[in-house]
Amino acid sequence: MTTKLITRNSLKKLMRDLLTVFEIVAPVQGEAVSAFQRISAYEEIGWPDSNTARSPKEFFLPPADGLFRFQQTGRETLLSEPANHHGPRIILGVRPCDAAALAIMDRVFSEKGIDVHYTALRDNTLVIGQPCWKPGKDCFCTSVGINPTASLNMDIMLTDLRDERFLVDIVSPKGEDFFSYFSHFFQEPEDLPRALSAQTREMVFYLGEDKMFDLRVIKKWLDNNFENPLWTKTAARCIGCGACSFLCPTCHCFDFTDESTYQDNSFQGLRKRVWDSCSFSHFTQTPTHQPRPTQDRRFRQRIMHKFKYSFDRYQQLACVGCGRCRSLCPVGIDLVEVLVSISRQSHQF
Amino acid sequence: MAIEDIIVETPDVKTFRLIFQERKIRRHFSFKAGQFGKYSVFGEGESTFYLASSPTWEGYLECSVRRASKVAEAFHKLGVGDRIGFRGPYGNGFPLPELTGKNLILIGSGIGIVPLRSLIWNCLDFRESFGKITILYGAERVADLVYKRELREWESRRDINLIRTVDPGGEEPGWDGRVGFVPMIMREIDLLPEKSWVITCGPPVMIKFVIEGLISLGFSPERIITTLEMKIRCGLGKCGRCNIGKHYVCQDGPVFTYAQIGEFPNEF
Ligand SMILES: Cc1cc2nc3c(=O)[nH]c(=O)nc-3n(C[C@H](O)[C@H](O)[C@H](O)COP(=O)(O)OP(=O)(O)OC[C@H]3O[C@@H](n4cnc5c(N)ncnc54)[C@H](O)[C@@H]3O)c2cc1C
Ligand code: SF4
Ligand code: SF4
Ligand code: FES
Repeated sequence: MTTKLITRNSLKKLMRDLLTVFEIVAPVQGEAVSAFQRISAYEEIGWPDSNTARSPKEFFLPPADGLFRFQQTGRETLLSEPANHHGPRIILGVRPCDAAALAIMDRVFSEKGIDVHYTALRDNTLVIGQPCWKPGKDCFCTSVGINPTASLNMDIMLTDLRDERFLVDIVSPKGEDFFSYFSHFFQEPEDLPRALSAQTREMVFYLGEDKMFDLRVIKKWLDNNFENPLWTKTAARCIGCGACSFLCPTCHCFDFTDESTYQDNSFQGLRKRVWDSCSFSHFTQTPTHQPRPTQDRRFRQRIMHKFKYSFDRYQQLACVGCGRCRSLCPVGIDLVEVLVSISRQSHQF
Repeated sequence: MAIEDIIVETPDVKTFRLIFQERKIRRHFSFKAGQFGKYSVFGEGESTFYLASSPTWEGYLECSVRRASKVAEAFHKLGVGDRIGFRGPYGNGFPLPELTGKNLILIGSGIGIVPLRSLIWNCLDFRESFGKITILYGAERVADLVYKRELREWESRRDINLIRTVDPGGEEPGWDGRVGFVPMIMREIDLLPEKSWVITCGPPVMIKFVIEGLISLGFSPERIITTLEMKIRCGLGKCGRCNIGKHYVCQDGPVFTYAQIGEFPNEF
């Protein structure tokens, strides 16, 4: 890993150049929520203090993504690529939790069979991340083993030194490639120790007792408590809206749907991949059979999948502690409360 | 793929004979009995059906579709010459190497005969590699028995023991099979666990009672094979839909032994 410096002015100039070549996606403060969006000028970047309400996942697994077009004229069927051409992209301001979530998705979409649509979007995107120095009110990344200042899973990390300069960590080979093209915008970090120690002095990342739980204890409890009153008790309020899954940076379940019209003597349309959620009853409903008929079972599936099944299958959790599901669940179901209560309950035995 | 032939099996099941338009794929496509495909009627969507023909039949594929969903409904409206989309094969299929040299007991009901049919014809092509073959097949009514012509053919063969049954009330004049639910009839015929593997496919209730019966007859869970027909979308272990415990039915299944299923969380 190499480390450089860039001044805010140079970063602005660099961005102006980059915008002519790359699509640039960055956090933007919208009217209601903050989200990642395509920007057209440096000034649009939001730099919010904490993570965005919506995760960057939608740029890798779009909520509705065209997979292929079909056209049927008489008996002839023609299949073709959809129009969504993806040029080179930079996604800026990704936080360590969301970068970790990308790594989790990478395994799902590349292990045991490669998903070409996801990997195309991943491969043509350079991830420029930023560390977190203060936790947001719902964050609990350190409780699930994520270091909020690490550049893991990013290509480049930009750290705002708050003196009109950014520290630039070049992490991956992709980051090195990028750097070698634009190296003239960057400086050597002569006074690196001083800059960093100013920064680390500010670092307060204590989450508090109420966000502490023991992952090993939880895994063990989940191994043995498929049936437990906790599920019904916790999920009693759940309205199955799916917001938790849609906001979650690691939830990747999807469905297919066909959109079609009759036009110019032929029947034509698009097969789309759309987000889905295990919180919905139709998720597992077949014409004759419903393996998860009640909301508490669907809620259990979500927790089991994140903290047990994913671990058993991929040796990784499927939660990065971003806190989005607990901040935006409309009925206030709180994942951390569930995990803490499991952890405490088990300690009593 | 193009539809080459359509056979009406029952009031709500049709079998479609399909051929790949590309000659190269037609020549090189191969699969195992018990694997499934994803079939598209463009504009309506994609659905999951077994490859119902034997892997040993060359040049075409068959699938048998029960009219149970929007896509299945659309399938039933298609005619000879119409085109459909296909991807596959997916899933693990039946463990043929383990079955070789054993007595096979195949128990199915209704549309559950579909994967068994592929296996049966596959085994008959290598008849001397297997011991006794017993087939117990039932349906709600006589009209609901799928593959009637083939049932007659299997019945007339001396190297297969086929028992047909219909649920009480489902018989009709001239019915020469048995009357009774599959799990009950299973107890009336002498099934011997020695050197036998059981493969059972059908609705979850039937499978449940069949397996309970088999266990009480002394069959070991390692040698009882069944299929789990959870809802399947992607077939690739990505969409999360068929997840059960750490398994994805679309990749690790749909064929499982009862011993494996015993370790699953109870939601299938
Ligand atoms: C491995 C495998 C092999 C299979 N092989 C065959 C085969 O060879 N032949 C065969 O006929 N079938 C087979 N099936 C079953 C078949 O795939 C489906 O049963 C059927 O065709 C419906 O699938 P679909 O995806 O088109 O339905 P979907 O579009 O997913 O709809 C499912 C159905 O559920 C019902 N539904 C949806 N939401 C609700 C709700 N909220 N409340 C109540 N009902 C609801 C609707 O009736 C709908 O039609 C197989 C299934 C599997 C998993
Ligand atoms: S956001 Fe809350 S109410 Fe909606 S599905 Fe998730 S847990 Fe249930
Ligand atoms: S489960 Fe909740 S806290 Fe964990 S990654 Fe998903 S949205 Fe974030
Ligand atoms: S069908 Fe998508 S994961 Fe199995």
